[in-house]
Formats: sequence, structure tokens, C-alpha cells
Amino acid sequence: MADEPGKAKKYTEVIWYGRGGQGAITASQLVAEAACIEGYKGITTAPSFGAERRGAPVAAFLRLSREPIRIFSQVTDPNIIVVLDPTLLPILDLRTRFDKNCTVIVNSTRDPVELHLDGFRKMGIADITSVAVENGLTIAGVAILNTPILGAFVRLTDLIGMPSIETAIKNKFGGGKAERNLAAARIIYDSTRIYERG
Amino acid sequence: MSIEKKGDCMTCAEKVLIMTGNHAAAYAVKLCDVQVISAYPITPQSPVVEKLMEFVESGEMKAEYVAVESEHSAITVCISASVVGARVFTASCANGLALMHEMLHWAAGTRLPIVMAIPNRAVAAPWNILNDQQDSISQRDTGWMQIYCRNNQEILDTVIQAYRIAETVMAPVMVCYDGYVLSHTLMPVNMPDEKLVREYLPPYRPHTVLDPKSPRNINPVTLADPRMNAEGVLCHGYMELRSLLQKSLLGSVSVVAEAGREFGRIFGREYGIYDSYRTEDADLLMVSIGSLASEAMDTVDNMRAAGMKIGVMHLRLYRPFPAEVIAKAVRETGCRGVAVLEKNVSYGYEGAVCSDLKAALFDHGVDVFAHSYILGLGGRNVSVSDIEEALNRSYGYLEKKGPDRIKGQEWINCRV
Repeated sequence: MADEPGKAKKYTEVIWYGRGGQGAITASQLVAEAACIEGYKGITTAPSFGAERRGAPVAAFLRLSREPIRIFSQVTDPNIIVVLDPTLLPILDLRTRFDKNCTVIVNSTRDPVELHLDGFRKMGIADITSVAVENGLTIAGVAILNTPILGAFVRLTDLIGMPSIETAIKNKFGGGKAERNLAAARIIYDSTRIYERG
Repeated sequence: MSIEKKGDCMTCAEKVLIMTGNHAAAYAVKLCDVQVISAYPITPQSPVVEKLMEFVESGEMKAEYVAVESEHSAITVCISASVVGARVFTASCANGLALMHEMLHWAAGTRLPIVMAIPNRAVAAPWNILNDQQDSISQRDTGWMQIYCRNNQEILDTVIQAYRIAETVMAPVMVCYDGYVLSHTLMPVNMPDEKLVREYLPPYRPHTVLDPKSPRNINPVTLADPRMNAEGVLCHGYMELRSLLQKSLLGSVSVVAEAGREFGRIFGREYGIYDSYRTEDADLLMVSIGSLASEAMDTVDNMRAAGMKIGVMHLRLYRPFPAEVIAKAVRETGCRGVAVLEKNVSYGYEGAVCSDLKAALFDHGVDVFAHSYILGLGGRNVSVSDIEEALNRSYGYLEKKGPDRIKGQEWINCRV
């Protein structure tokens, strides 16, 4: 762990988990671009280093700070965990590996108890796959989750406003494609179920 | 890569873009009006040349991109294009850079101002595509200059400075940055104004141009002793030509310093021979090259908060080795020891930077210990606490005297 438990962290740290092709890395980059628009001075995002393959588990790391960020090591002690593919949950073993004060965002139709994720301080769950498919966000039959998940990220975290995310999406996609992505992100923003520990 | 907003630069309004280190290198090459690019793709360098191909294809860059079948050919194309007067660029790393080795000597010996970006990667065997600095360190003795970068802004700014330095010294320059750690990490980068880059970097004026209208023989067989050429002019032998290269490189420390100062005047970001952080009253110095020296700033903040007087020195310019400047800087801190943390090994001895630093300290009579630590080989993650572990080990030697201060090299977070 980069920091001792209990010590105030200098940066907000996020880990995105998904499978190659679902958009975990792009989602992290879109938040980075939105953070740039909002004037964050410290922004770093990187994929888990190595050879990524379609369908294989991948991770992306994001750090945000109002001060410049000087470290580039992989995030091991995140504040926020985003899981784009719920079939990864058994191997991720989030409850054992991470602090219960994390905010966890999961693409699922189930609730925290069913997902064995009860106990985390704050959770956001949304059916991102269905919304992606309904909005035509698929490539070769695979749902692309990178933009809809951002609706849940904005709703749960207070880090970035929806207008900056929308600008980042428009800059990346443009035209009708941007509209479909924006629509999906807005639907998820409204439909994310929030669970907070009592 | 498309977010635009006003930057914080005091002297100019720069756009801030979010980009990887590889794209920072590519944007710098575009800003420098490079005329010929030749490279062979290799992980993690590929995005540098892919971006440049896009610039050439779209017409944003008026350059020739020469596709080749190997790194050996890529550097040979660069040498040929440079000899006929073009400003050229290539990028490589790891085994690709090793394949260039023979031609790296040709480029330096011919005194060509070629600039190469190196997203540092481990050299096989065993096969590994991830980061360490063994590749560029293994090319240390080819006559190329080497500058190391700590973040993506430094990559962009250093590539621009590298052309000015190379074309002043008439020697090739490697701009080195940690593969993946910087090459694939996106972060905010201020984009310099292209008109100001043209002011900073005048067009390339080659010293000798190979031209069919004025035929000449460049690099003929040069024997041991000086001898007359066909026109009856007494020409240097091999040793004289090599001595001139060495003299130029040793004298180029001030060129690098001037290039960094002038960059600061025009763009508001000044660069030196080395960078220091909280070194003023340090008992122990952490010395490194590349992104480790950035990560170490957070380590040092933590250790300072615990009352330990530690600072960071980043050796930005590694070749030529600025021995006198570095020795003086270490002496002036008043420290009692240095811990050199690096991602390379001179196999059979220790970290290469540590050996070079020790030689400089010895020559200039700076009586401090220097310990060698090896970290992060083949992409092993280096955290703030890994650096802290190394610094803690050396901190325990501050009260020791004489030979008791000597300690063998240690490999941090290596599970053998």
C-alpha cells in the first residue's frame, strides 16, 4: 500500500475493472479529460501495464488532485472502484482486498447483498449493459460500457460535473455517435441505485 | 486528446491537453518541423510513430515517413537523411534499440544531430515488454547524448530542446522516458505555441551536405595516423576525430544548460542539468534518473514529515556526465550520503548511474557514501514505500564513519 491506513490521502484514486473491449480504459480517460476541463492540476490515468486482449480482465487507474501528481505507480489503495463486468466480481474479491470506506460502482441488476458486496460505505448499481444495448452502443454484439458508466460515476462521486463529462464525450465521439453516448450516460445518471451504509 | 483550455504559463497562453508520454513526444516532433521520420514499431514505442504517421498522412506535417523492415534500417535511413541535410527523428527501445547498436556509433561518429525518443523497456532475455532503463543505459558509450524525463511535460519540452542541443553540438541525442509508466500514462501537458518553437529552434543548418553536385567522401577508411587526402590536405586519423567528438560532448554541458534557460525565457518552464527537491539541508540525497525521481518527491515529503532530512536529485543529463556540476551540487547540500536508485544494472557490478556518480564524487573530493539500489526491473511496480525502504536502509549509515559506510548494492522488492 502506498499510504498507511488511516493517513489522509493526497490524491483521489480510482480503479476501473472490466474486460478488454468493454471500455474501462476509455471511461477512465474520459473522466481525465473532464477533470482537465474542470481545472484539476493533478490528473493521471493509465491502463494496467501489459498486453491487453479483447475479453481478458483489464484494469485502468486514475488519480485526481487539485495539486500536480508526481507518482505513477499502480493504484493499490483506491477510494473508488468501478466494475464494468459483474462476472469479474468472484475473482476480484473486493471485500477482502480493499478498505470498506471505498465507494463501489457496479454494472448489475442485482443488489449489494446478492453481489456479496454489502459492507462498503457507499455503492452505486445500475444496469449499464441493458442501457448500452438499448442505445445502440455495441461493437460486434458486445456492449460498450465506457460512456454510460460515467453517469453512475458522476452521480456517486462529487468529483466531476455532468456538463464536463458531456463535453469530453462530445470531443471524443462527435455527431450522432456522441448523442447516443450522451443519452446513455444521462439515463444511467438518473437510474443508478445508491446504497449507503447506515 | 482534444480538451483545450488556457494554461498557467506566465509568458504565453498555452493550450493544456491530456496526453500520453508517447503522444507528447510525437507532438514535439511535429512542432520541430522534422522533415524525415523512420522507425520500426515496438511496444511501448508504437504510439509515437503511429501518431506521426497520422500527422504526415493528414498533411499536418510536411515530412517524409519512411517505413522500414527493422530498427537497423530505421536508424540507417535517419543517418542518410541527416547527411543530405534533413532534420530527422526516430524512436525505439529494448531489443529494437539493441539492434541499432552498430549504427548508433555511425550516427555519433558522423556527427549527425539525430534525435531519438526512447520509452525505456527491459531487454530480453527473458522476454518482457515492460519498463526498466537497461536499453538506453546499454547504449551509454555510443557517443549519443542522453537526457531523462520525469513526466510528459518534460518529454515534450525535452524533445524540442534536444534538436537545439544536437544541432549546436553536432551530436545525436536520446530523449529517454520510462515505458508505460510515462509512455502510456495520460496527464495534462501544456502545448507550446508553434511560432515560439520556431523562434526557439531555427531551421537546421547542416555542417556538411552530401550532394551529387558537389561530390565528397564522408567517412572514408581512416587509419591510425593523420594522412594526406587526394587534394594533398593533411586529414585527421581515427583518434583525432574521436577526440574531437569527446571534446564536443564534454563541452556540451553548457549548451544543455543554455538550451534549458532559453526554453524557460520563452515558454516559462526552465530546465537545468539536474533537478533538485528539498535538498538544501539534506543529510541524505536520493539520486535517480527518470520517473523514479518524481515518485521519490512524495516519499521524501513523507520522510521529512517524520523528521528525516532527505532530498531528491534528478540527473536529467546523463551523457555527457556532468561530473563537476553534480559533485559541486552534492557538496553544497552538505549531505553525508547518497542513495542511488535505478532501473538498470551494469551486470557484474552495480547500477550504472551509481558508478558514474561515485567517480565524480571521488575526483572532486566529496567525502560522502554512495549506495546502489536496483528497483523496478522488467516492469516491477515501484511504490512510494519501496523508495522509502531503500532510503531508510541508507539513512541508518549516516552516523557511521570510514569503511563502515560501505554497503553492497541491494535489490528492492525482489523476491529471490
